[in-house]
Amino acid sequence: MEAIQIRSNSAKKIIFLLIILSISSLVALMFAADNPNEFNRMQMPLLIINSLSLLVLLGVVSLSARKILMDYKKSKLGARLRARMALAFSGLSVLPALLVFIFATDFMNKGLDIWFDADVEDGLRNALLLGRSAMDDQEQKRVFDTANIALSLDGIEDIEQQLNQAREAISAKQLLLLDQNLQVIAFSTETIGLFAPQLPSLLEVNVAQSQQSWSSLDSSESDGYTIRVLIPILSFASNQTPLYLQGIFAVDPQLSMMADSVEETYARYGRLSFLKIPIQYSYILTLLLVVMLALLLAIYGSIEFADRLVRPIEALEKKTRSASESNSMMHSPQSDSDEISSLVESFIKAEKEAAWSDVARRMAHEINNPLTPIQLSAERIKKRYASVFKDEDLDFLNKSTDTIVSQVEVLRDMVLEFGNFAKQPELNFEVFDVSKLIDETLEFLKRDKDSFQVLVEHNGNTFIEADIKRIRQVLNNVFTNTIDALKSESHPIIKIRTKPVIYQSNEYLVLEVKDNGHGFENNLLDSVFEPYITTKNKGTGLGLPIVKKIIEEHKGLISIKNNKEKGATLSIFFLKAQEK
Amino acid sequence: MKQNKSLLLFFIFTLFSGELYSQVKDSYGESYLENGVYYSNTKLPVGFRADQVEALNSGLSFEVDLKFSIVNIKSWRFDRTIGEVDQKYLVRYNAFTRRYSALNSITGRELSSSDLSDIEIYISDVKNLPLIDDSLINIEESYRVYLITYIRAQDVPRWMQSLTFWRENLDTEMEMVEWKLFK
Repeated sequence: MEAIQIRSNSAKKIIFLLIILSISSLVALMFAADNPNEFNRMQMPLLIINSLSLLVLLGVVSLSARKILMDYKKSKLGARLRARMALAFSGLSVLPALLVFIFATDFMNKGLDIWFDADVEDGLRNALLLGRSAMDDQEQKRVFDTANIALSLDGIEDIEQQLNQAREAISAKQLLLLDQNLQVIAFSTETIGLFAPQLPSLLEVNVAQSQQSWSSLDSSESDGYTIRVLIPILSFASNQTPLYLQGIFAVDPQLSMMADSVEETYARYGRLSFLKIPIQYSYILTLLLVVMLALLLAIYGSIEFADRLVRPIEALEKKTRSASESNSMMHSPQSDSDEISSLVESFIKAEKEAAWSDVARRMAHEINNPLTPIQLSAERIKKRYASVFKDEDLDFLNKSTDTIVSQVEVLRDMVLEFGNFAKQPELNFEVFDVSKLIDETLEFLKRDKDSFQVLVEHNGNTFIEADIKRIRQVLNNVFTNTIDALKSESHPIIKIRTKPVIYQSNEYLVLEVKDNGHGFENNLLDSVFEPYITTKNKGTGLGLPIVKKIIEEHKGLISIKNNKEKGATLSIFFLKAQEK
Repeated sequence: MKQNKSLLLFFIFTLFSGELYSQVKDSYGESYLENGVYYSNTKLPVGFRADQVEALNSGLSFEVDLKFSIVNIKSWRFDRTIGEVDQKYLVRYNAFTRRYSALNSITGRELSSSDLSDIEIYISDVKNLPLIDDSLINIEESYRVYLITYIRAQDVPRWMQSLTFWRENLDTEMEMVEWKLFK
C-alpha cells in the first residue's frame, strides 16, 4: 500500500524545487521588507510563487490524506498505524504553527496601532501648525510690505520704474500690476529672460477686493515655498477700473526646508494611515502564507515520515502473512537502511533461521529413527536369501540390498548434518592457531580428493579464540565445498590466505578462500547461506548455512563474492584472541 | 415579445454607438490644422470622487493621464493607431499650504489652488495640444481621435488595492471621448 499517490521521482523533485523556491522567495521577501519600494515591487511575484507552492503542497497533502483515509476505511494493511502516526505528527506541528500565527498577528496589529497612535498624529499636526504659524508671521510681514508699496505708488506714469524700486526695496521675487480682468499692466521680476507671470484666480481677486488683501503660502516644484500677496490699489485707481498689486516673495530657505520636511512627514504619515488596513492585511496575508507553507510542509513531512516508519513494519506483516500462506522463501522487505528496516530484516532472518532449525531438528529425529531398522532388515534379507537365490536373482538381491544400505548411509549423513544445523551446542572457547588447523584440514582432504593445487599464505598472528571442533567443521565444510566446485576444472587452484584486519573497531583474522571454479550465479549470491540452496547434484544445501551459523555463534562475519576473472572468494572474519 | 425585441435592439445600439455616448456626456473634442500640425482642444469632466479626495487630503498623490490616440479607421479591416500623445498631471495636496497642486509632468507647468475644482477645471480644459504632423495623414482616409482619461493613485501597489476589495478602487478610468480628426 502506498500512502501518497504522488510517489514518482519527478513529482517529488518538483515538490522539492517548489519548496526551495518558496523558502528562497520568503527570504527575499524578508529582505525586501526593509525597503518599502522594493517590497512593493517584489511582493506580487513572490506572493504568486508562494501561492503556487502552497497550492501544489495543498494538493499533494490532500491527495495523501484522502488516500490514507480511504485505506483506513477499507481497513488496509498498515493503514491504521500510518493514519495515527501521520495525525499525531501533523497535530504536533499544527498547534505551534497556529499559536505562532495568532501571537504574531496580535503583536503585528499592536505594533501597527502604536505607529498610528493618536499622540503621534497630534504631534505631527502640532508640528505642522507650529510651522504654519512661523510662516504666518512672514506672510503678515509681506502683506504689510505689499500694502505699503500699493500705497506708495503715485500713478501709472513710470510705473515699471516704481515697481522695480519697490521690489528691490522689499526683496520681492515679483511685483505685478493687474486690472480686474487679470491683464498685466506692469511688472517687475528678479527673473532674467522669459517671464511667465503667475496670475491670481478670480476668486482670489474677489477676496482681495472685499477684504482689502489676500495672501497665501504657496509651494511649487521649481520655486519651493513662496508667499503670494494681492492688494487692491486705492491711491490712483478708480472704482470703475480697479487695479491690483500682486507680490510674490520667497520664503527663507532654511524655513522652507524645514516646512518641506514637516509637510513630507505629515503626508507620509497620512498616506500610511490611509493605507493602514491594506498594509495590515498584506502583512497578515504574508504571515498566513508563511505559516500555511510551514504547516503544509510539516504535514507533508509527517506523512512521509510516518510512511517510511510504517513501510518496513508493513512489509514484515505482509511477509509474515505470505509466509504463513505459502512456503515461499522470505526475503528482506526493503533496501532502506534505517534502524526500523534493519530491525525488521534481522527479525525476519532470525525467524527464518529458527524455522529452519526447527524443521531440521524434527527431520533429523523423524528420519533417524527408522534408518537402523531399514539397514538391519536389508542386511538380514541379503543374508537369508543369499543361499536361496542363484545367478541373476542373487545378483539382483545383492545390488538391491547394497543400494538400500548405501542410501541409508547417505540419509544418515544427511540427518547428521541436519542435526548439526539444528543443535545449539555449548561452545568451548580456547585460544589456538587457526593456521595449523587450516593446514591439517587441507592435508586430510588432499588424501581423499583428486589432485588440486593449494596455495597457502599466512600473515601475522593467526591465533583466535574459538571452539576448535566447530571451527574444524567450518574449515571442513568450506574446503569440501571449494573442492567440489573445482571438479570440472582442468587446473583447479585454491588460494588460501589469512591476514589480520580491523573492521568496525574490532580486530579480526580474515580467512580468504579463493578458487578458480565456476563461481555463483548472481541470483544465488544473496541466498547461498540459506538452507537448501545448492548447486551440487547430491548436496544437502546445509554446508554453508552450517558454516554461517557457527561463525555467527562465534560473533564472526562471513561473506561471499564472485571474482572478477573467475571463481569465487569466501571470506570469514574470526574474532582475534585477546592478548593477555 | 415585440417589446423584448425592441429592448434588445436598443441595448445593442447603445452598446455600439459611440456617437450617442459622446452626445450624452458633457465633453467634447475638436481638432484643427495649423502650420502643418493637427492641434486639439478638448474639454472633459475630470472629477475626483469623494474617496479619492479623502485619499488626496490624507497625503496620497494622484496621476491624471490623458491618453490621446489617433486612429486610422479602416473599412472591413482592423483600425490602425498611427500616433499617441499623453498629457500627465501629478495632483497632490500640500497640508502645509492647504493648497492642491497639479504639475504637468511633460511641460513642467504647475498650478496650485486652495480649491480642488480649480485643479479639475485646469486639467479638464486642454487647449491647443499638438497631436500629429500633417505629413503622417492621408487626406483620403478617415481618422478619429480617442481620448481616455485615467486617474491613478500613486504609491499604492495594485495588490494592496486588491486586498481592500470592499473599498472602491482608487484608480478610475473615465469615459472615452472621441471625435474626427478632420471633417
